[in-house]
Amino acid sequence: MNHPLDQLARHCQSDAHSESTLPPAALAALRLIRAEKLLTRLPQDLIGELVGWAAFALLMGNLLWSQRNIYALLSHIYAVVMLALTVREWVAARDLDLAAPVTLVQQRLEALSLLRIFRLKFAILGGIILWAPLAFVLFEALSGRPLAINNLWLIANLVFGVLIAVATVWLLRLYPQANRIARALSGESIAEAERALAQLHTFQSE
Amino acid sequence: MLLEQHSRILHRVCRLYARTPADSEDLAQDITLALWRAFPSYDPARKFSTWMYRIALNVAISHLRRHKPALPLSATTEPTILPSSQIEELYRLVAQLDPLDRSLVLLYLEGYSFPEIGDILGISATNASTKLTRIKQSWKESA
Repeated sequence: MNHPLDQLARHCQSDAHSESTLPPAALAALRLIRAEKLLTRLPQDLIGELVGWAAFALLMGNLLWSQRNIYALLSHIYAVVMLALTVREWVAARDLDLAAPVTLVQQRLEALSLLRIFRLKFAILGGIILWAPLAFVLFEALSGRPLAINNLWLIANLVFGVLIAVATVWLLRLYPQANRIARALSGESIAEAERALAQLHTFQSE
Repeated sequence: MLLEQHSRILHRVCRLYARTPADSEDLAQDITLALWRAFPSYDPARKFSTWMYRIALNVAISHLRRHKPALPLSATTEPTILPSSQIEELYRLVAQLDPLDRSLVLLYLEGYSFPEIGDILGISATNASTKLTRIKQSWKESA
């Protein structure tokens, strides 16, 4: 028992009753909770997004039914995939139990983080590529007549969208410090989450 | 109230995972909120301190990932048996460990048995014991 850590352990345990009051910050948080100001905030953060994507998918489904063209189909697929990804993230967030063992919770948090990054990337990169078909579908829905589309222009636009997406990712890889979105698009957040998962795996192994 | 009775856990976790007094306040609030929200699912048949440690450590490790390290908190406010300079140095060494190893050391400092540490962290008792031995060994080597 001569190791410094054992000395510190004896110190901590002998000092067990020296900290009998909560820190002021914790007491402040408790008062806020008692006033029920914060109870409703966190649990359903994703509900708004879920409702939004569900409404968008329904709208695109209706437009697909009435327009029956490839642009409406692409737009509907985009909306449905976004809805599915949001549902998946919401379920993962809802099922998270912070009272579960630490390594398990941390693994689930990292998995949740990966889901969030994937959804963000899909929303942005998919949006860049599919904005033209979406615009056609919405134009026809609002004006009641299809837009005269030059196929060559559409293909050029899709290619342009892909190039913009690739260029965005490439530029953000050079400057990934910008913000959360930049870090997600550049792959930095994914690499960070994967590193954390690898650390957890190592910690769990004997 | 249970939380007030076990406030020492909050102090210890904040001390080892927060790097500045302001950060410590944020972390204390985050942990308190998480405890309050999770309380309806608390099973009274289980030990409250174990349940509280799991939540506090989960919040603290996630908090540490969101807030990049600054300077470690001083340990000088703690009543002492060891010389305060030595305690400060020991806390500094603990604060340098990665978040998971730090949680293991924290639970050890609190006097938890290896099966209890394993239960809180989600690893086997043998694994917890082996890791602590390695940490002690690495301290000796670096001393």
